[in-house]
Amino acid sequence: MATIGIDIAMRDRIQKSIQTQIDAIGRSALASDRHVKSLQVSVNSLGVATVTGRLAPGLVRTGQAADRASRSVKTYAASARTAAVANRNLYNSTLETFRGLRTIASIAAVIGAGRGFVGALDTYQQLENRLKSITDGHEQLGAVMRKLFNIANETRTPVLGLATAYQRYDKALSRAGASQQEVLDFTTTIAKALKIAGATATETESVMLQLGQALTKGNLDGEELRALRENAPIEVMEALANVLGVNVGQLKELGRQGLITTSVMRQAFRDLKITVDRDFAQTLPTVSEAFVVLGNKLTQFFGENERVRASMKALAAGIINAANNVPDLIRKLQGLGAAMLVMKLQSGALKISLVGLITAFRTLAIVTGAALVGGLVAYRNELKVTEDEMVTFADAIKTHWTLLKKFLEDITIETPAEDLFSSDTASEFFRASVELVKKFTVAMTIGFNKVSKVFGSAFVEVVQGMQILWLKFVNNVRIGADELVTSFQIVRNSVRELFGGESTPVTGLIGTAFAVDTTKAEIGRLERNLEIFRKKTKQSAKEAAEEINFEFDLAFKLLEGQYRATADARVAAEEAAAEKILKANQTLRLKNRQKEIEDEQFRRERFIQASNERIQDAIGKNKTLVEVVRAGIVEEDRINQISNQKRREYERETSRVLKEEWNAVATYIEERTRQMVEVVRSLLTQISNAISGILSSLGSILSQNGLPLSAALLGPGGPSFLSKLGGTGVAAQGSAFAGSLLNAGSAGLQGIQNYFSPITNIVSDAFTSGIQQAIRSPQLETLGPELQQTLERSINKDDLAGSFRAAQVSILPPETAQGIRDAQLGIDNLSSSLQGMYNLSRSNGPAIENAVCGPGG
Amino acid sequence: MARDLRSLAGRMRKLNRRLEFTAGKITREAASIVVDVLVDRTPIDTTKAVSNWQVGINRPVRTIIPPHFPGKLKSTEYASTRETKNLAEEKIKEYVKHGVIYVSNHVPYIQGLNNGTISAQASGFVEAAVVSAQLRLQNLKINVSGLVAP
Repeated sequence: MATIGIDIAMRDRIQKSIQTQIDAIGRSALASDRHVKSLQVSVNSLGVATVTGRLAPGLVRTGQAADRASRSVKTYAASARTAAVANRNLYNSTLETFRGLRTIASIAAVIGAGRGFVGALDTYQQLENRLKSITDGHEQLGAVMRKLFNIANETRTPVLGLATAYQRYDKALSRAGASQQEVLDFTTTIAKALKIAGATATETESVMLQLGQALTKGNLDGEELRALRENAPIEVMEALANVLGVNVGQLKELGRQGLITTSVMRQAFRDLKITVDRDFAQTLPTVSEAFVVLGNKLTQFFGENERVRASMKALAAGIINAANNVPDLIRKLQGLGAAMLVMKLQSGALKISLVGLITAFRTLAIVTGAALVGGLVAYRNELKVTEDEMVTFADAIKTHWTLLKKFLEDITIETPAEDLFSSDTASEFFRASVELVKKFTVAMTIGFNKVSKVFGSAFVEVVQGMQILWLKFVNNVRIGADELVTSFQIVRNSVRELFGGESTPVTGLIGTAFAVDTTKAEIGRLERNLEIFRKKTKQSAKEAAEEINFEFDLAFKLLEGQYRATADARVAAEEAAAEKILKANQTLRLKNRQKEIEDEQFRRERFIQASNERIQDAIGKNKTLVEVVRAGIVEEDRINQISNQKRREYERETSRVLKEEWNAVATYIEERTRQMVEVVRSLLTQISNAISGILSSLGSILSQNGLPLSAALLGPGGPSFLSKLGGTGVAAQGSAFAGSLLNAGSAGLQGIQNYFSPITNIVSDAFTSGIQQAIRSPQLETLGPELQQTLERSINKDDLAGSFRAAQVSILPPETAQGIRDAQLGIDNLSSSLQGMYNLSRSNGPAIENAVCGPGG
Repeated sequence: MARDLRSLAGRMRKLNRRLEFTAGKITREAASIVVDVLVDRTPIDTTKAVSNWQVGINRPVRTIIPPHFPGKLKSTEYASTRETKNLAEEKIKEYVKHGVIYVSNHVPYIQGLNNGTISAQASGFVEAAVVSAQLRLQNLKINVSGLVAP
């Protein structure tokens, strides 16, 4: 049976947008925190300082080795011939080694400046190794890797961590009969859920690890459950609780009982997928997440490129070979010809070190540019250019492509850097580098001042990071140069000690004199050159730093101007948009107002209809007019739940209208009553006048003819007259006639009086009943709706009066009117009879008189 | 005051949790107001109708109970209304968050009472109770640490 009771439900619903905003603030704070840290790491890791820092100690160590070698040479320099041969061999070997060192420097540059490149290759290799164990064959491996890359990019998660989690889940879930797609879905859902919850990288890793362990052992409890409760969003716990049919608080106990099994987890994550997908779709990527995806894409790109993999192997082999050459170098240095080494070092090592630095710079420029451009391109549709998130980077690209293309060309083509890469001396290098910096910053300013809208403050941080990078680079080159000089000085001192210093001279050996002479001359020149080199380097570094600072300041000023212009334009656009919204709101308000009016109209119509029904109902129950109208008002009050104030207004209005109505009714009734009284009065006057006339005529006849008639009848001739007429009976007849006349007059008057008495009563009753019927008669059905209409509109009194006129028939019933007409007719007939009698008596009077009073009489 | 971005994120998480807690509190407050008005305005004779205002958490109470204190011509009005309110308050206290509080009455003639077709008393008291709750809740001032009296 359907319930007829009442249920009032109250639920706590927080406006979703509020929670979302608070969540967004939290997530933004976390993302910003990560972003700041990653920027710090980027600046540190991208620093070429690493390269030069590695290279310089290497050179120092080389110098120290040479120093040790020079000390050892005393023992081994026994044969000039051997020395000459060794010298030549050493020279060749040294060149060879320097080529290796050059490779090392290049690799170091790549590792330092393009750490992401090597890291990408390494990550890809690790990824492949992990997945090989859970896939069959190269084809399946490739398919799974592609799917994992897609999931990682979709969830903006580092691919290696995700693959590790997938590997664990696959091992556990495949045993439980899960398909590969289900495992992928499972991995995606947990990654998205953690992203929605704003979990940090560490928390994400922890939860994924714990969940993997839980799946492996077959149930979720203890530490694993705790990690999930603390770091996963509440929806995950709710999904688990729903599968088990309990509340979240009971999960701990059920976990202890071992009831949160693998199948429960599988079902929970299947149930959770739709919710998580929906919530995740509402999140926006942060800049740091964009770089995570960029990293994933680099990993995928480099990893999948076989040529790059081959290059990596070759580089790795080069590193190993170079490393193997170092002991050989030391061993060979232990031969003779250190002076020649020094000379070669003077021209060769310096150049090589610069080449290493230049390579580092080149790589830095290209990799940095590529990273920026790659990030922009990869996330062109996700990155929002404007604060209102209406314009994407892709939109900006379309607008500014020409400028961007030029910028890319400036960054990536080698022409502007040719001078730098071909410079042999530090001064040339710095001059060239400054030129390149100028070109670079100008290109950035021109090309990026449009693109800067994309990054906003993030771009400023990137440029600031690059500025720091450049300064560090210059500074480290200077330090490297210092250390280089120091290392040469160490070598020089060692050589001086060997060939003519305070140490024991090596004489008498073939070639020694040559070596000594040459070395002495070279040492002096070297010393001077080194000092000059040191000074020039310091000066150049200082100038370069100043110029670089100047260029960057200039770039920042330009950027600042561009930002200001952009901000002004944005403010103008926002104001225009606000105005547009205002206008739209006004239009909307007007529309709403229109709708309100229409609703109000509809509501009123409903009210009228409902009220009419109520009134009809009340009329049917013979209620009074006031009750009828009040029923209508009560109905309106109840149906529409209007406020008390409004209801009072309606009541006041109704009272006013009723008052006016009743005034109209009262006036009409009064008028009709007055008219009826006039009619009756007129009738009675006419009747009275007619009777008076008749009686007056009768009196006149009697007064004129009565005496002779009486004399004739009662005089001396009377009896004979009477006898003539019929004996004594005549007198008696005459007397009887007169008596009958009197009787007839009296009876006529009495009859008239008797006749009019009920007429008066009928008229009186007719007034009363007519008015009552006017109120309760069917005519009120016409009056009712009209009266209701007057509640809403002005009163049409003519119409109302017309209604009452229609009710007139009821005020004077037909039988009453007919009675009055009959009475008039009766009186008229009576009058005619009396008139006839009068005429008869007048015409017969003389004959009677003569008969009675004449001689015969 | 957040010390750094990470602690700010933590504060935001706490704020959301507190918000949910506060929402639950407001819901309890609303339910109390509704029960008060319903009980005070329900036409009374034997007190059966008023005794059947019952509170359920997450599901409505459909059972019909005898009057708490049976009477005649409002003789037990005070005792029954007080008992109805006490029982409702006890039940409302059980509610925390993320659910529904039902205030139900399933005596067969409750609709008639509310429509005013049975009793001579004013009709529409159910709607009046809801409106009263809305009006009083509009004046509630809320902060994250709890409710402030209107």
